[in-house]
Amino acid sequence: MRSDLVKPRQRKRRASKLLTMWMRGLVASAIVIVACHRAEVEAGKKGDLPRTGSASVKPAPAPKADQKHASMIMDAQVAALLNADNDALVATFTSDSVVLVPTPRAAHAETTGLLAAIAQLDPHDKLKTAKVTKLVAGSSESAVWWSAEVSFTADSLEASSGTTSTNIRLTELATADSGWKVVAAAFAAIKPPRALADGDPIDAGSTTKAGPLTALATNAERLDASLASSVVVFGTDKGETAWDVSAAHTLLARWKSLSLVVASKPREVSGKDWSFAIVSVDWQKSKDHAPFRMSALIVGTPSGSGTQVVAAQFTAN
Amino acid sequence: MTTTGVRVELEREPQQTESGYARDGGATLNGARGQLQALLANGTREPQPYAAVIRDHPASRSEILSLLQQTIGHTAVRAIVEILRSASTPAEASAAHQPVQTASVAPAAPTPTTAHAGASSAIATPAASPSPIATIAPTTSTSTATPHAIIHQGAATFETIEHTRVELHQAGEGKVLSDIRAFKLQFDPHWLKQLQTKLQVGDATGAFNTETLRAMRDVTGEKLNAARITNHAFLEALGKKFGVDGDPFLPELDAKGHAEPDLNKTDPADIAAQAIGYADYDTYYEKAMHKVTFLGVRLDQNHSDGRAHPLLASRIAAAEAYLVQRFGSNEKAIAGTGWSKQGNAAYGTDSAAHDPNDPKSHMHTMGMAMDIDAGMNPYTMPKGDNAGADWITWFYQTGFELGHRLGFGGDALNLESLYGEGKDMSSEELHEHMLASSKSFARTVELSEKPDEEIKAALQTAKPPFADGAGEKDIPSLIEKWFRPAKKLFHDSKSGARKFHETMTESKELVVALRDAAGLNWGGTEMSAGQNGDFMHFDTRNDSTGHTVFQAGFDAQRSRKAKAKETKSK
Repeated sequence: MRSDLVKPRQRKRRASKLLTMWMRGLVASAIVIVACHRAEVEAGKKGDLPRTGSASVKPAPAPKADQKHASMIMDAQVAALLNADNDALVATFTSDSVVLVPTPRAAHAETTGLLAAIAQLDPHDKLKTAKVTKLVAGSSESAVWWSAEVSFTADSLEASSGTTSTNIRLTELATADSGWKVVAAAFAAIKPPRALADGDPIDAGSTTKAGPLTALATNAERLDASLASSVVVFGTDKGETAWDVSAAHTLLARWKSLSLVVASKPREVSGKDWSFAIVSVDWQKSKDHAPFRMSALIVGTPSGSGTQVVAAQFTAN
Repeated sequence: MTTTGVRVELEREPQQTESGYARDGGATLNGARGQLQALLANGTREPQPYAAVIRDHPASRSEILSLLQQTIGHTAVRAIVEILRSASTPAEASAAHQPVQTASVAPAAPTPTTAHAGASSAIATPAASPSPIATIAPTTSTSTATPHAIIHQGAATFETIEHTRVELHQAGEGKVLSDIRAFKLQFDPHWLKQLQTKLQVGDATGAFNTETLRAMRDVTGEKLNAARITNHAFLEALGKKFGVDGDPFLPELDAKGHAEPDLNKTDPADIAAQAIGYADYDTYYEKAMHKVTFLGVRLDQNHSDGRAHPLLASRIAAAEAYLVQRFGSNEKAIAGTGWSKQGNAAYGTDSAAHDPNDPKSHMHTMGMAMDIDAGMNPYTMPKGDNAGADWITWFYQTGFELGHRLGFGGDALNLESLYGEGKDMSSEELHEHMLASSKSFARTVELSEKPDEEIKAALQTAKPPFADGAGEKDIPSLIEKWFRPAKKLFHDSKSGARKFHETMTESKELVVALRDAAGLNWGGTEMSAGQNGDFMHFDTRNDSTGHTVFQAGFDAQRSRKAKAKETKSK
């Protein structure tokens, strides 16, 4: 995370503007937006980290999309959640988008139930508050991506306290081509993966051939080597949040010995200056157990002739 | 009960059709009106005098019974019907059982030509023998047996899923049907439908229903109970006699594990898993839980991961088998049942099961429950979980009673009456009551949107107590405590948790499939005496394995809470 890229006065003005938006009928949300985008050409500058297809020639910096798209989409999503308006929530996603909630589902499918899936609502719960506690965004010329943490509270008829609270992590990618809708996303509560007899494959109609990002989902070493200098990586467990590249290296170093495999056909899609992969990942933790099932969203941008990772999130199925 | 009150009830006759379960008839009360008014004004509760009035006015039987359902209640009406039935002379019985074909009666395969009274003798030899199967003659295509979907003229009836009308249940029939649902095995719908057809059951659907019970009792001459009906040898013999091949039941499932419990794992979900042979909850979840679909629709919807224990999966498969044989395909079954494809299986399988502050074990945690159309079939009476849940329970109970008192139809549903109706009625009759009550509740909610004066005027036309013991002087308080929150919950709020005014939208077809064919326990009416009205919910607690899991988890949770309370008080 490169918080030094934004001057304090700019940051204050942006935070103030966002706070005003939240106060208008949604929920008072403390949002910290720290712009962390960097020109792709800067990705390989340090030279101490191998990059996937890192460039040897430095092109001119490309213009960046306005990161306000991130906060605007998040605002719309939070408003839809609080208004229990599933249609409005789904409308922030492209018609063919697949989201991890925490398993892969088509956002627009009639059986997805996106709202309850994102807010972790049981059928007898009613969402009370939704608060974005931290958000970090980045952008290329035609895409915006962001990583965030959101806390929810809900009235529950089944909890003895009458209230439940849940924190989730999310990663989203929106593109200009789609009219600034989300093309891929991950939303997951903090919980460790567990052994499950059945996997959760992506619907056949949404799968694609594997591209360069798919392989990174099961190889922590290569993923680590492909990180952009501004990147956020989320794992599944408590404490597995890396808001900057340094923390991401530390986190991924811990995963290097894990035995991960791609469990089923992925969905990997790329555009002009963005790409993503949604991958079902099995962790072969023990011979005595079924695989520990996970899913992953990897977001990339071009870097020279290759791709660098600007956001990644693993979810426990 | 005052005379004025009786008059009001009598004058509300046109609205009775909205209740949905007393629509036949058409005669007027004529001379019976005066006698009934007198009995009701005297507060008479005994069934005999009312039965006498019906005998005096047989043409008004249906209307009288319908009226009495609204005034002295369903249980009393059952007693009256029982008296009328038992007191019938053979001649009266024969007259009363003349089949009346109406446009709504589905045609049965072989055309009936004789009265119901003759049906038994035509196809069976009622015998004192404890094993009547040997005397049963198979029905042939030339049989003169009468379909059991007959309409008993003048009787209070309910509508079957074949749109025939069947006389209300007699004492004990509901319990037999309930016990059959709770049996560990489910009928193979193909086998049962063949038998129903041979037995001339008009409502030959493949689900075990009231008419099937009556037909079986008729052909055997025995007052069969559930144990007899689910006896494999009995059914095989019955099938053989009527030329129905195959096994009566779907295959049995070994739904248990065989591991030693890990005694270090003590969350309620661990204890529930250990009760059926798993080391702990996580092992149970790993080994036993699998993805499940219903009619080809995945159930990993909303917050559910779409997994289910094999016991629930097998019950869902039984419902599917029944619906597909009935409609022809998954797609046709979805259309035929009107299912919106909204549903879910397991949830709360991590956060709830291992919640450090309040670990839970409920039937969804254990993958033994599914929800259908959750958004439109709310949990109305979750009493005891917390203060909010208690208020919701009061709100819905009061709403049902208000609707009933205001003459919108349905029953004054509460925890007790829901549980009672669930035990006494067949799925078809029960559904009619729940749907009528749901519509009545919705009308009451719609009244909450009106100005206070209009609400007050509506209440004043009804007979106190209006609900929750409220009388005339309590109207302002009732408006404040019930109608205002109703307006806020259903009309003002954008939060949408209660967008739908009705409390139940599931079709009768779907309830029959899940309750009768699958043997699932409906959360709407048979969850427990203490918590009910969860209309979206179907689970396996009817089954012995399902019940073991439910009870072990429930006891562990209760014990944990008691210990926590004790520690706190110290």
